[in-house]
Amino acid sequence: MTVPARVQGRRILLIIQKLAERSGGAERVLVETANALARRGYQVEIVTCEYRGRPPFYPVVPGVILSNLRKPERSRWQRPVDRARRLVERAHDVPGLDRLAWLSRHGAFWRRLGTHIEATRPAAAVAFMPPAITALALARTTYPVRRVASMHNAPEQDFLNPSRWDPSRLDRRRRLELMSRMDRIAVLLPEYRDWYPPHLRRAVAVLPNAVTPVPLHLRAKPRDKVVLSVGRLASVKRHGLLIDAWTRLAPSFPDWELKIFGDGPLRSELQSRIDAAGLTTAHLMGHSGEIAEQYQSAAILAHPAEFEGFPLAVTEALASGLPVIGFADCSGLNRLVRDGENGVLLPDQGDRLDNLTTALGSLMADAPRREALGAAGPASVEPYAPEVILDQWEELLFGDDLPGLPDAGR
Amino acid sequence: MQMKAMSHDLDVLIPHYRDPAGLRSSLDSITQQTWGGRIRVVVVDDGSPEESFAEAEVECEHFRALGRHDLVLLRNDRNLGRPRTRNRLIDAIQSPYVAWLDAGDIWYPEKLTRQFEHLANLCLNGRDPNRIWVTCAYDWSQADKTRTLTQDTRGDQLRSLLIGSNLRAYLWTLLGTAEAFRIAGRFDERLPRLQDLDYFINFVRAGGQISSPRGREGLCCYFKSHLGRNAAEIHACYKLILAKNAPALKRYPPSLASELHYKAARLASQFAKSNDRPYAATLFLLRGALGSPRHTARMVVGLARRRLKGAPAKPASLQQDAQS
Repeated sequence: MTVPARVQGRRILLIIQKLAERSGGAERVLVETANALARRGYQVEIVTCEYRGRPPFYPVVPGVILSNLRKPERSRWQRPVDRARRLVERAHDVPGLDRLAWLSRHGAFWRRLGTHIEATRPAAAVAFMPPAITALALARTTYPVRRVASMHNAPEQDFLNPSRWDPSRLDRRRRLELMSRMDRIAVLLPEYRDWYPPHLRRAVAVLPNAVTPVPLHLRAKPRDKVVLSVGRLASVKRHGLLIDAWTRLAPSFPDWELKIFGDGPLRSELQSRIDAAGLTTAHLMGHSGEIAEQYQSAAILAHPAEFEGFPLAVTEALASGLPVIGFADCSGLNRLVRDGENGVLLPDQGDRLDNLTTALGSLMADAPRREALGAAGPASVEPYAPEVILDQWEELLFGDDLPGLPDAGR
Repeated sequence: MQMKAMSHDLDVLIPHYRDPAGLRSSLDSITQQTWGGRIRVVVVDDGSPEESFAEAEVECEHFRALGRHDLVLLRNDRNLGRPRTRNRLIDAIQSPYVAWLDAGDIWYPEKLTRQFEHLANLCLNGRDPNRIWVTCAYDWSQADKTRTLTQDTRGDQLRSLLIGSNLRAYLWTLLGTAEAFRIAGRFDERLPRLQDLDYFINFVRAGGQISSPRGREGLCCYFKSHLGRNAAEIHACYKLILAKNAPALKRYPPSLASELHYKAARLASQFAKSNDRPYAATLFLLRGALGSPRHTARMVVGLARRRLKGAPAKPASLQQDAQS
């Protein structure tokens, strides 16, 4: 795919509501995409709308401009106003107040974003995740900027799950309605495209996350007896289940360690669980800036998550030659991990704890099997090489044809 | 004429429009540089009339005939304006280092030598050359008067550029690597004036740093004229730059935004006054006063205090020029 030379140097806005010190997968994809596009000669600006005036967790390269549409801190007079607004926002499902609550929550973002787009006139604007997509959809402009929605979850999680994003019914309805204002909708997997109604499907393009290949010499042999788990410490990742399985396995594998990397709201609860079970070989490691080294030296990635979009931890483990174990009904993961080829997919029927304990123990005890599964990992993520994915980004932003749409009724 | 890629050390980029005599001065100043590297000069003529272009061709041929450096002359089919011409110059970059010069302005012989030495020293001190632009002190020549102005690169460079008193956005002072110029992106084609300022702000906001060699002697000379410049256009350009960078301005106290909006009006007023439009000049000042009452009040109080103390009125600080 070639993009005409004239598009190099065009201005691109990447929009996300919150980025300051956030270490999530979507934030990482946004920063890595911004960096890669800047290296290709585009003028890239990352636009946020948040009160925290802190830098992003993932570093941006020279050439990428960071713009926060809000002041870094609330002023004195804003605090009482914000308290009143929070009260209104609590009434998000009360008829009559729901629109006011919705406006209070989203109004500033889309109004400021519209002003900023008018001032900077980007050729394309990409919104990451629902709050930013709502703002981009509603931003008023006087010229035809290409609007792209970048989705980072299974669609039912983004559009139907009341515990994610704005919990109001009004927002859940509008979220989907506003997608019709997008010129392109980027989803991570082909099956996610099928979820969208026919009138939107036409705009949907499959754009997976990029996976950086790991050179052969960096893949450690022999690997340490470590089971790795990487992800935000939140209920959706099911770290508790993993710790319970480890409680059963630890006595049989005294020379093995469980290392859980990441941080999140369940940290203290998980630590209590480890302490209560008296586990000395299970550790919460917090964030690490050198997680790549862990993938290269550990023996297994355990990823018992409930659902995923396109799990970066799994792709990076596979690229590093690490076998992955996870549940067959976990979206995203079940597309990347092929049972018996590059990892183990656990059945979702029966007791999950039993299934996880049995399969993990079996893999820990079988070094030749781990090696065979790990060896197949790098090849399985080759289609997601950064240059390939970046070409697809360019086509999405500036090409006339949609990638990944063989016969979607275009 | 196309040169072989990467066969030179430095590209000197010159936009030209209807000023062959000025172009000759600029080319002569390049010839006189003491720096010994291989230079490729790229001149883009912005659709000058045939006669003027023919004279520019003669000057370019004369430069080539000296045999010291190479020169590429390109021409826009029609007058596209300074930003688009400068973008065409950016597209023509082939060498690892880049410097800019405007037809009519000149470099003194030591300019490149001093700037390359400074860049080398920065590299020795562990700085990344691909994030640095080297500027320099310069002579400001206006109405037969010349004074030397230094560039103060200390402190918050974004703020300094916006205020424009101690650090000014003049492209013809710059030397840097081609990669360092990539950071700033391209010139905004909606800015017929002040596109230098916008380009500098982009560079600093995108992680670039401006540095200047020590010393107070000017290394180049800018010949200044306010004549023929549209005050309303300058005002609109300044306002657009402030709008583009509104998110960056939010991190400063509101007094800065007030000062800058006042400055936009005052700058336009200066240009209107220079072009014998006193009525328009007064209107712009009034606009500035009404639009930025906070800053105007501070100015009036400061002026009154100085008067009461018997101190002479503060000389008007040299404002960011709208030469682009």
